[in-house]
Amino acid sequence: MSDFNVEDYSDVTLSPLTSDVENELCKIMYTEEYKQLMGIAFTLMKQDEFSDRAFQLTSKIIDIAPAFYTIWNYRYKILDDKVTSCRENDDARINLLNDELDWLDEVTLNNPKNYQIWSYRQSLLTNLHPSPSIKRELPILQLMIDDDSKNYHVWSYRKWCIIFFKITDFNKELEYTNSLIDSDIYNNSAWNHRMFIFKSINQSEKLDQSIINGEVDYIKGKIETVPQNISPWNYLRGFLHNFCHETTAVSDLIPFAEKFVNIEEIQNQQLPDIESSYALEFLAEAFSLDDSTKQRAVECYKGLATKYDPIRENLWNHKIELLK
Amino acid sequence: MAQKRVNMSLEDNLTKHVKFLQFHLSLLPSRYESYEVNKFAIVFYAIVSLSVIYQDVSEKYQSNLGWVRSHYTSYQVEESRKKISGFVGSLSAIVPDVISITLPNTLFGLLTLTTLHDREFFEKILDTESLCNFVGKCQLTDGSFVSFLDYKDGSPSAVDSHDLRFCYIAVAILYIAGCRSEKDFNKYINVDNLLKFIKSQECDFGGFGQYGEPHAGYTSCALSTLALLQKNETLTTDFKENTIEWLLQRQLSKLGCQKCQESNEYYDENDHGGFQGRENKYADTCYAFWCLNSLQILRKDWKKLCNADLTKKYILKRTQCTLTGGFSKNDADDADIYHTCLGFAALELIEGNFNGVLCITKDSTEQMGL
Ligand SMILES: [Zn+2]
Repeated sequence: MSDFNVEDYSDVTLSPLTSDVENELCKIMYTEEYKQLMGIAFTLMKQDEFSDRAFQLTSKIIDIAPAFYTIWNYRYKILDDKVTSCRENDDARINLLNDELDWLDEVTLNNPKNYQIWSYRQSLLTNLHPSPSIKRELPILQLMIDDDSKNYHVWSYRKWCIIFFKITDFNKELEYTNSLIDSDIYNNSAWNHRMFIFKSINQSEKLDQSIINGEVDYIKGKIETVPQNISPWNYLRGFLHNFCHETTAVSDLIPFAEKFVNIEEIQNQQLPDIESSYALEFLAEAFSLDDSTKQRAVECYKGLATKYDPIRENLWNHKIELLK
Repeated sequence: MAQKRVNMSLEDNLTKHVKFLQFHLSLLPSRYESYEVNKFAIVFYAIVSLSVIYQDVSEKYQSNLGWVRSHYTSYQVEESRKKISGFVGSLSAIVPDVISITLPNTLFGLLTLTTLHDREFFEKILDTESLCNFVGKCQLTDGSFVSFLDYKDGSPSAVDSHDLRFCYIAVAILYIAGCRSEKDFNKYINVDNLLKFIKSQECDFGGFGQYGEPHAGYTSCALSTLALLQKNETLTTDFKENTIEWLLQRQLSKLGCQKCQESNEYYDENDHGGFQGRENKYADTCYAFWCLNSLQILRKDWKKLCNADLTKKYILKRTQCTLTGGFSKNDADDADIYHTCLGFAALELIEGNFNGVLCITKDSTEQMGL
């Protein structure tokens, strides 16, 4: 496909852009080029022109103003029209859509924070592409995660893909989260993705005990590496809640959590230095589950309030109130 | 303009803030071009910020009302013969037969006119029926909303995302248009489906987000939506407790064990007192607002639960730009208009002068009967 050339549009009457209104606020000095492109685009839209030149025009405008929603909509309609016109030819349709994905990859790399790109992508795969494949999606996902390993939209899109493509080889996804957690153990999105995967596995077949034990060991290892890290502690709590008999599993982990906390000294209100406030919080919750250990929970919360996490003093005191 | 009783600590920099805000309402260089279609966001952020500082913003900008109102436009949607109306983000997007109104621009427009106390617009110009029809047309079968329609046939746009932000914006517009009871809302949207969608965004241990990862922005949108619908009771007590705790855990600290995070790239002891949007992320001005707004919806006595004084200090000392005016995301960035507005909003929420659910001052909501 040839590049954008403004001479291709010389026959188009420009739709005038309203401007120079009295007492305008926030007046943006748009360039002549911007005015011209928008003027052409609105005219073509009104005329329902779904041509190649209209398609090229949308690329050009998205380049300048990627947040301009109507243009994305226009582009989609042109593409839809092209797809319909080669209804009988699967290869042609596949090529068309793959070219579009190539183009979209470029736009994505240039606009990492724009969210329009992901919903546009979803509609291409859902409504237009004859044979979408997750293989085609992985490279861009990888590049985007390399660029920002906590990009919320990218992680959401990855999870959307797993559902959309009905992925069943979950081991690959688990390995993927492993590698990200290895490079940044604090990456909460990676931990969250892991939970999403286990929930997906559990939906197709109940998790078996050896997998559960293996995962608990995995979490323990990560906590031992960095005890003061909220992500694996939250993940542990979630994992026990979702896949285990929660109260038993939590009690079983008391000795593990006590490794990071000198619990007896805390019970005697001596407040020694400890390695992790999250371990102490875990213990407080574990002790709260049983009436006989409630007083122990109170002492843990007191420790959090006075020494280990004093910014949340009010929360910890509130927890003590709830125990009464 | 007559100055208000502002936060004492803002006093020194007030002139600079005003200059920063007025710059955004004046002639902007062409590098702002890509914001053109969503220009109303800039107008809203600047006007709301100014309304925090001044008593009489509405008088000062009286002469601009005509310009603001001219963004309100309506269309006849062929198949349903229903009229729809709303705001475009820029006059350059008003072209006959091309539907280009959006939910966000519409909310920003309505809130700007509310802040400017434009009674005439609400009484004589606004057509609430077609406005609410527009909102209704943006709802999908799963209960969520997209932010704009297909420019031609007026169906929900196939290329837009649908998430809690747009749910909030949709419901806020209906609220401003006068919907109060469930019956009022149900006239235009399917409330049950919306509630189901919101429920589907609940995370395991509190907070709302996509696919189970809680996010303070989405949490604020979900809770504000429920507040406007008066449906907070649909949340379970456990979920509320968990959400309160999740929100409180977003306040960053350098005290106690929290300082043992040398290897955490996203730990910065200067973030002390600020709020983050997710676990293990830096503090950011806007999340102070999203978190505190969520908290105040869940608990009347929210100030007794968090440490708002430290948040105030964080915003004033760390993200307030004393050189240029305005507030930044965090101290690594320049001030921008979005974080400036949410910085003011967070400070005013703490002072008790702000309606966080609608994101405008209490003065404005009271004056305009909202
Ligand atoms: Zn922010």
